[in-house]
Amino acid sequence: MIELTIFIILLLLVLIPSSYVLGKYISIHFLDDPLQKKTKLQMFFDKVEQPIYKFCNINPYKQMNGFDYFMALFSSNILISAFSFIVLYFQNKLPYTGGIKWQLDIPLILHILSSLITNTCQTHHIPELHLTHLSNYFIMPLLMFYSSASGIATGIVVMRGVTLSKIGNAYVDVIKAMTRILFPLSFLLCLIFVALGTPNTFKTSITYETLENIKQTIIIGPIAAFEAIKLLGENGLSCLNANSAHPFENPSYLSNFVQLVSILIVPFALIFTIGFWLKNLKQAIVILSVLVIVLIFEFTAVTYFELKGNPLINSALNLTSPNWVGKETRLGIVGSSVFEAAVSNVSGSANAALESFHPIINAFGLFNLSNQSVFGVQGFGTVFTINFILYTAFFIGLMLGKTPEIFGKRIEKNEMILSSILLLLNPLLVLVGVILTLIIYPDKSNNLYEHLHYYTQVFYEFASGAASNGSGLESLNDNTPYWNLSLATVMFLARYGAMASMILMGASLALKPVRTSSHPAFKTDTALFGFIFLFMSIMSTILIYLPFIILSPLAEVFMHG
Amino acid sequence: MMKVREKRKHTLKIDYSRVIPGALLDSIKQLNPFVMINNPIIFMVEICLILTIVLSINPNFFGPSVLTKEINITISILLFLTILFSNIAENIAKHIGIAQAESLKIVHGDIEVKKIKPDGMIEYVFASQLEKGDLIRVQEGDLIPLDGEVLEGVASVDESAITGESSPVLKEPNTDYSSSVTGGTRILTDSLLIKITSEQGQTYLDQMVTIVESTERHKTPNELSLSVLLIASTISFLFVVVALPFVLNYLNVQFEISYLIALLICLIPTTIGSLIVPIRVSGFEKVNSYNVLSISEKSIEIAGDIDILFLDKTGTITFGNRVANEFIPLGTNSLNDVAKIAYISSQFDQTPEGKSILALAKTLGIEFDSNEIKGTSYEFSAHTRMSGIDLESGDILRKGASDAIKKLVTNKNGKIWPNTQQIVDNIALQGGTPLLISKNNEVIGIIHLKDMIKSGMKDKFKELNVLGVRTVMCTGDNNLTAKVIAQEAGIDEHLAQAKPEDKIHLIRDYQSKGLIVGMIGDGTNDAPALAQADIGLAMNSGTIAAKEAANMIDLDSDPTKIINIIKTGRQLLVTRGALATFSIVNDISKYFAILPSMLTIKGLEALNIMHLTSNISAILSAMIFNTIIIPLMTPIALKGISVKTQDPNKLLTNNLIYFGIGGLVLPFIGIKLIDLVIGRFIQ
Repeated sequence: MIELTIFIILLLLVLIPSSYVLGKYISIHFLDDPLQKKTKLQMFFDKVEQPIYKFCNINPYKQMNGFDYFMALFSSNILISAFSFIVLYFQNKLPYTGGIKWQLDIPLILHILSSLITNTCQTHHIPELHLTHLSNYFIMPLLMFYSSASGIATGIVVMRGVTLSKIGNAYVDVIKAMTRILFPLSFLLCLIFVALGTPNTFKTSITYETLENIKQTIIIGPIAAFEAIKLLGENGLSCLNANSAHPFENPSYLSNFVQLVSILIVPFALIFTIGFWLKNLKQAIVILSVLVIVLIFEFTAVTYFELKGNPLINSALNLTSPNWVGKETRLGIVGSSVFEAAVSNVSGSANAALESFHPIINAFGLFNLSNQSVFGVQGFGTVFTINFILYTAFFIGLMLGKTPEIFGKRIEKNEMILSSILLLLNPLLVLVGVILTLIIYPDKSNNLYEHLHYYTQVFYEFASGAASNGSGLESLNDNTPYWNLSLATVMFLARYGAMASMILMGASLALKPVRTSSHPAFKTDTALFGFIFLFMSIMSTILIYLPFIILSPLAEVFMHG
Repeated sequence: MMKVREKRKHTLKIDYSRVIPGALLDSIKQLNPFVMINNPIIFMVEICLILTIVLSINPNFFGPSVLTKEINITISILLFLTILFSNIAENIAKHIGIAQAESLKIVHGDIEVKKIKPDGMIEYVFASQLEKGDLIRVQEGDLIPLDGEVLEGVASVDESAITGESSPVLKEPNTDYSSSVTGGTRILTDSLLIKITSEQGQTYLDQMVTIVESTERHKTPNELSLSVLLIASTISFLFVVVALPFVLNYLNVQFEISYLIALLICLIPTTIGSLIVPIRVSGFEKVNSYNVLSISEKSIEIAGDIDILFLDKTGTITFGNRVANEFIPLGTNSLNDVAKIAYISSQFDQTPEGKSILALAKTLGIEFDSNEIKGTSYEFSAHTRMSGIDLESGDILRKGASDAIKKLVTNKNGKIWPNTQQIVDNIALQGGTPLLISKNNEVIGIIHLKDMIKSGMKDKFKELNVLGVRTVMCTGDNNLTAKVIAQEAGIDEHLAQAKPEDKIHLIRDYQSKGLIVGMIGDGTNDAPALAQADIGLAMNSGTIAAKEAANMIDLDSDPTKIINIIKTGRQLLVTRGALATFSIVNDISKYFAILPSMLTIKGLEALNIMHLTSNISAILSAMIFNTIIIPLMTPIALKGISVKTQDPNKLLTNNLIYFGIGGLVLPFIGIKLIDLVIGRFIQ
């Protein structure tokens, strides 16, 4: 536990100042306040982006409405997916295969595409087996960059709507998200990972003779570069199947720490950006504190149960060993536990086998995937946070006898409809998916425990797909046409359904004037507000998912006392 | 002389003995599913009721069940009661409204007018019964009920309600302009015979009463957004209840359809779903009981949001006519002398100013019998701008505008005390009007005429400030006068020399900043502003145009009532918000009561944290709690939650404690208690 405390303190010491700076940077670069003189950095990036706009025939000054903004993001996402489909389908006929000649089947390609373009990065494929180097190191990063940038753009447009009176231009936001956030930071991270020992080369493999005189081939590639966008973009797709448990991807305790920082930095920064745009940093601190408290609670809970070890094994063998099953010793119990708690909220990476964690941790995971607001996936998580703030403000407004408003903007029927869609979409897709699967492919064993666990796995798989998260309880044999197609559909509908309602909600708020009232208004930057926000967020998730979470991992816990 | 009887101050009397039976009858009628569908949440309960009735007849209808018919019948009865309680709450509110409307009709029709029948006889009728072409006689002090044409008589009429001008206008027959009179104006002297030329103007009032009466209610904006949320939560619980049996089936866990229905009914927000209409209607009725007619419930809710309140100065803040405030003696003259001269010179002056001079003098103990003063009165004219009296004793007394009197005295080589001009300027600087009094060829004193602020207004503006409402005064006066009055009354801003379009521009300006603007007015010149404002409150004494432009009419013409309206609007929202919170947080305890009975997996008994007696008892206890909480909360919904503080942070904390934490804890206690009682009878 001392290790955990130091780990958390160090993590916050690194994260908070760096995300503060990044948040400030985003707030300047995505606002383009005409009243403020452009910084040198802004002018530099403007010059870089000019040719891109020209090449793509984009008028960067054109303001879009909500619908156009969504359509621009949606259609460009589809276009990139279509291009990627062609490359993936013909991958074994294209150069730079790295010795891999696998012909991908269409359901798997659809799953890969849906999974990547929605920033979910659920992996049903095995990269070393199924993907050529061209697909793995060029197409995957392309999709990862684009989906992450689309997520940031969605987050930005809603944040602008809530805090400012501006919508913006989808193409400009996506391009800026790449040129100004993802490219520079990924480059920096790549250098750090290389320094920490991650390989980064265009060579596809190295061959050497072992001591037993056997020739062994080890696959390598531009792993450090891949790792950077995988973490920074909340993608979680690994280029090597073992993900962050692989020694090339995550060589040491220190690299594990850097990975955690890079997963959390953009979502942290976006909360700060809200504060800068509202010109009320205290507001950002209140929101961030609530989210960080939840995160620390989960860090502690997961670590606690993992350090306690498996109660069944420990009591049978009379041991007091921590639960080492499925964990890398170089990363440690704390390193693995904290990473797991963070990724079930944010991204789909993994540095340990989620399957072998204490079942109660799967319950936390399912809660996080259903809630989606504790930082969440790139950009979207911030919108889910804003959505719960909207609900909080709504109830507070009603209880104060005033028409509810969020940061001075009235919450009316339109916003409530869109935010309700956002809240209902996830349970609808997850529950339909789970029920259909349980009916079509039920677990064949006669053991109730096996039944429960299979149900947990199915539930987790759909929850992770619908939340664009991508983590999963493995041991589901999920590279089948049914799994690939059903999850591709769920991921697609969840992502774009949410994206549409988010952007329309942001646009609808953007058009509203900010009330500059002399009222002794209720302050939203207080601990009380933070507390109600936390309660709202937990309530809305618990009320829908409680029976389902009880029946899955919690029942496993209760069954064994 | 017949005095107009204005009984409007009467409170509305509601006959509750008629409300309850009517409400009960309508509640039964409302069970019709086609009517019920208007309330989707309660409609859902009705669908479940049909299912449980089927189960009551054959418990195994949807598959084998261990439940007896009796249990299913009990559940059906509870569902039926839930619907009935919900309907009763709504219908009590509606019937109170109907009773109020009847009572209002009597109240507002109580302006009696003297109608001349064709045979020349006078008949007393209600103004609302007048028709176009009727002849009526109005006398000093009467309100002219409708637009008309003067046929006979000469009289001065106070048209300040229309024009904002405080000086009375002379009306006589057969002239172009001055032969027409407008409804809502008041006759000050003499009497007139008027032929009604407009259609029933009071129809607007009638129309409003009809709205009060009508049971067709429209949802308000905040109610709409809350409804969206409630429907969304209902849908989400429907997902839960539809998906749960599939999962249970897969896990080979036995479950009862009745239990699923119970879970659904307990989770969907039936409490707030039943009370949302009563809350709205009761707010509307509360405003009616202040004698304010409102076009719709919507305006009451918006009134709670008012940020800026525009008030017309004349008639609203001030009495509208200048009143003598002070006598200032000049030179060697004593105050008493000046007051005496002022009194005598105003003896025959019928203008409000003249009367106010007499009133002020009386407060100084000066009073003469009118027979004592003998002389010829000198009438005021726009040319001379002075009036007075030539006494039989030879003294010539005059009072009038300062330059007119000065000119008069200077022409006679009379005496003007050196500080006169200074005092005159000083009064003007304070926004007042100086009148000089001269006796023969000496200016002996000055009367300070002032626009008097209505008593109690200052406190009311303070109260508005506490409510967080900024006040803006509009007036045709010059900036200086406006400023003085605004300062004196405690008004935040003023708009001087305001033309109707200036007011509209300023209102639009505020609205574009997202602020909600209220406007109180009574004149025709206020009508555009009343229409532009989010809330227009017209005085009943005002003109028809003003009343038509407004969305609320105050029958007592008391502008300070806006405070009550704002408070009612806020209370409406607070009540709705608190009960919605209560209803939703209730769900947590209900989950803990019902889920252990449904998820019968070994080990999950641990979830039964309330230690309820048995599965059936747990389900029934939760349902009974869910049902009886509706009638228990109905009085709160109808009465409204008392909003004691205007400090939002305190108010929120209070409501969170009572309705948030209360809503969390109360059902745990309630369900446990019910279980202790019924658990004895069930297994």
